Amino acid sequence: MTSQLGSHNHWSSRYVALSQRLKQPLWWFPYPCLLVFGLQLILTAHILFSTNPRLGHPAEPVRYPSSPSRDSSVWMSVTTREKNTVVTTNDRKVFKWSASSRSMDGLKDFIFYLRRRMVEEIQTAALVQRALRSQTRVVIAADQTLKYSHIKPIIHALAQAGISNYAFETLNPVVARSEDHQLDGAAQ
Amino acid sequence: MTLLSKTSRMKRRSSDEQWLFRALGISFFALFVIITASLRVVTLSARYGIIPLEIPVVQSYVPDPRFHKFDAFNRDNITNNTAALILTSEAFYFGDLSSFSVDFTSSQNKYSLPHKDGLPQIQKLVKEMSLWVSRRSKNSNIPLSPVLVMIPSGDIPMPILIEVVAVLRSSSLFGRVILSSGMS
Repeated sequence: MTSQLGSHNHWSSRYVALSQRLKQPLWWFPYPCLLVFGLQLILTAHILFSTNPRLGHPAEPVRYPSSPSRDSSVWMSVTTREKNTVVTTNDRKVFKWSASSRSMDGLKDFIFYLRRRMVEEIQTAALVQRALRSQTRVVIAADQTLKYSHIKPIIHALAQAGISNYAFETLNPVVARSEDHQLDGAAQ
Repeated sequence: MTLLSKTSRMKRRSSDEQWLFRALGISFFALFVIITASLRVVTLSARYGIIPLEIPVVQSYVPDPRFHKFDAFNRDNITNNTAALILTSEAFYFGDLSSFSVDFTSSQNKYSLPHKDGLPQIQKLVKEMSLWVSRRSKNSNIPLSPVLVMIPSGDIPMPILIEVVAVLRSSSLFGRVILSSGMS
């Protein structure tokens, strides 16, 4: 009986203490919010600034040491899918045509897009009064499985759009070894 | 005794003791640093480079009425004596551009370098072309031109083509490579 009373008194006192505590301001409440806010801030910033811009583009360029370039405005990846040549640009435009096509009809939209991009670049250069030669360069990230017949229509389209400056993108090996310069792997 | 100690510990835990806000702040900061570093390591972008090529343009005179009177000039020309290189799945063929156009039937004005076991001999090609260009420059008084017109066949894999262009551009022979194109 005494122990029951003691227990009752103990829980009554705890209840009173708890009700007192709930009347006081709680200083820990912002921390879960801060944690969530900080995490989403990190993830958003990471996706915006740190993620590889080539993510989502299926082309896997050849591994060969070459000089880097930073000012090119038009970048595109070229792959094949179901006997079609698929071009994906850096602003997520997708163009495709039959790989066996010998007509320019399938490339009309692509040529129009290239012309529009060049006009935009020239207008931008004129407005800021600053023009770089590499600004109108088109960088082509060609997949390793492609053959030259897949790229020929693209070069033709570049010429049709009035672009005289283009380049092939390569993946710089982390450690350039002498055997990286051999053609064995590529030929096989 | 054990019950008493547990009760006292519970009382201490549910007391009005303040959270250590500095420790919490430092913990969150450390957590964010670890997460950021981990994400950066996982999705670090590779290093990319480019191998430039060119498409020839026709020079046209456009008068500039402004003060500086800017006039476009050509750096190099494509002539009959511009070096041309044909890459097929069997061999390299090189010579003057005229030897593959107006004098195509002649067999004396072009050279071939077959692939060895299917592998293009790029370093040997650079040596052979260097010899040919220097000899042609001495004997025929043809000036050295940094322009190379390259005509690969359609079945050449892109890795081989890119590597051939890169090796030729990195040699002292040619600084500007032009690839053929077209829909056929």
